[in-house]
Amino acid sequence: MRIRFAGMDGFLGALGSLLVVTYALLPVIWIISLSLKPGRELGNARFFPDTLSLEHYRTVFNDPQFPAALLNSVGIASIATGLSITIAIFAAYAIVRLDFRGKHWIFYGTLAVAMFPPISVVGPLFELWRTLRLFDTWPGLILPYLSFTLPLAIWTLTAFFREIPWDLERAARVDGATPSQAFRLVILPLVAPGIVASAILVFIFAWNDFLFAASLTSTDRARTVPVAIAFFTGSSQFELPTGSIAAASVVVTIPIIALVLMFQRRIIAGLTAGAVKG
Amino acid sequence: MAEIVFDHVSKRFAGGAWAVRKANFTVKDGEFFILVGPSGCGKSTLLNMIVGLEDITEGEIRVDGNRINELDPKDRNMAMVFQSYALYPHMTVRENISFPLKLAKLARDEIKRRVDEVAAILQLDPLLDRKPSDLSGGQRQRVAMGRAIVRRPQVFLLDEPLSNLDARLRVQMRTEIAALQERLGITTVYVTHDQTEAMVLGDRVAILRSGEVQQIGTPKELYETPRNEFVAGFIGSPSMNFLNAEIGDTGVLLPMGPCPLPPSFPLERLSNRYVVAGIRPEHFCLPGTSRKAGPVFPAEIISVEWLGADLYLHVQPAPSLRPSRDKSAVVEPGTHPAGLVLIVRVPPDLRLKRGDRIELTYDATKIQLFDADTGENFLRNH
Repeated sequence: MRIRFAGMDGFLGALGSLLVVTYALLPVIWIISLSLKPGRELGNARFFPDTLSLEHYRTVFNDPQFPAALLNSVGIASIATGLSITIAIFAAYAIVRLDFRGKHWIFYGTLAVAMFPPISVVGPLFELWRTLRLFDTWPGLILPYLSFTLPLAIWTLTAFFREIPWDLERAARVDGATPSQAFRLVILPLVAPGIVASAILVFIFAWNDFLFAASLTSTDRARTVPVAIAFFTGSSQFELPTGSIAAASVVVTIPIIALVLMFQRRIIAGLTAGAVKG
Repeated sequence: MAEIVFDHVSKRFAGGAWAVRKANFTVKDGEFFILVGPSGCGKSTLLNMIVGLEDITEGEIRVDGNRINELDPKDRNMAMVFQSYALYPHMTVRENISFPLKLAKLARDEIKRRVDEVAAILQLDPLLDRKPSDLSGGQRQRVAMGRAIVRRPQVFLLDEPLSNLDARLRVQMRTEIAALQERLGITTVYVTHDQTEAMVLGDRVAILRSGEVQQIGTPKELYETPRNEFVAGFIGSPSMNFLNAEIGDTGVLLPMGPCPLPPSFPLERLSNRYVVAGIRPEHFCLPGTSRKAGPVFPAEIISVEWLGADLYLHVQPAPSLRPSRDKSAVVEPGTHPAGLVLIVRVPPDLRLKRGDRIELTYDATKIQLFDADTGENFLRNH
């Protein structure tokens, strides 16, 4: 979508956009700036670094726990996303297309789950995971991510499934498709934008989570990046690891940005245009 | 090629409402069969039961003698054109048309050959690489037809395929569909709510109302000998005029005055009964213009619809001169309620305007008489 500005409205519009963009991006730029300042300049309160240095990036990747944490983050977030979206696709399809008892119960039940404050379940979960030997493991984090992201994914996908005309599936069945062929060849491609959109949301949740990751892990086995960053130490115990934290933050933001840019074109709505008259 | 037999087919929805009741008829091999009726009459449900998208509650549908009630839609070898067209928006026109063939696992060059053949028939060649969203309504309609005929199905089903098109395109596609069906000779069941479509296209037409088949016949039979008042009113445009009337010894007493009936009418059996008399707009005429004219009556024009080839007048018959008889009918025959309006067709070159008083007459041999309670046609069912 392209927004055109003209005259006074245009001026105000441009000003507004500028404010919003500045507000949103300023902290990001500041973090990038911090990550590039050499250690002695960190406290100089200047927006732009006087000299550029990659020393913090070197520190981050030389820190033994960071690469391990990065692997944990990628693995855990990807698996949680894959599982969550797969389950959500089937759940949303069932909610939209099938008539079964307790359908609304399930639909609103999932929403209720999402309203639990995570902090209220962390304590019990800690005890439970220790007993079940899930503490400090990948599944130990994947499971809570699944339960907290499923509602969002189901609700998003339900909205997308609702948009799909029933007739398409019926037409596919008459054209000779089995129910599963009709689903795979006709319905799934049409909800692809919804799948991508909710997958990104789920991935971001799992990727950014600090609470569960901090409470349910203790070693590099399952510790994810946000927690690893918190465990950074400076080069001496009297120094704040500000630079390293900034550098690590930049590093973990990159995959998310890449993901969004990559799928941006797929997220566009209106893929169903032309299916039916209207 | 297939003959479809409906053997006392009924459909009840989960809510308990009967959508179709005891449909019992046969669609002959190669026939263009129309299901027509107002919305909610069960015509689309019947179609969906043929193709397998709706379960059959009672009864049996047989194709060439084989029961198909439990057959999965994909195994019925039927093709359907949906009212919404239901084109797959993520596929090009070529992919849309070849979809059923791919599912049937045909060889690639065979698929290409058949798609090209269908595209040629429907003049879709220049559109094959476009997506449905880039097509006009008429083009989408053609693609939907193409996807249906490419499989060479044994039965071809169309659910109001023209209702989303504008009037001109509708007439054009109507002709194309009729020509295509004739060319392919595939048994075709066509659902519509438009009686004109039904009359023009159908070899035979079934008229449905509230899930029940009212009458099945050729368009001519339905027009000339409607079984009941509903069929009479549904077929024909503008609708037949219905008048409260009473049968006398030698004729029928209409609101405009008495009308002697030809000896072919079974008058003695109906004597002194209240009936509903039906006269089509085209069976009225001006006095002296037809040899088959009946009694003349005066009327006032209350509106004029000039359509170029036709002129329709909405007229109010002047109050009858004949004194009304004292009968306890709701509407006294021989008089008429203030609102009685007749629609009559007259030659288009007449210069008439609102408020004019004219004299009209009608062809008494074309009068239909219906039972005032049941709506049954007396003349057809004697």
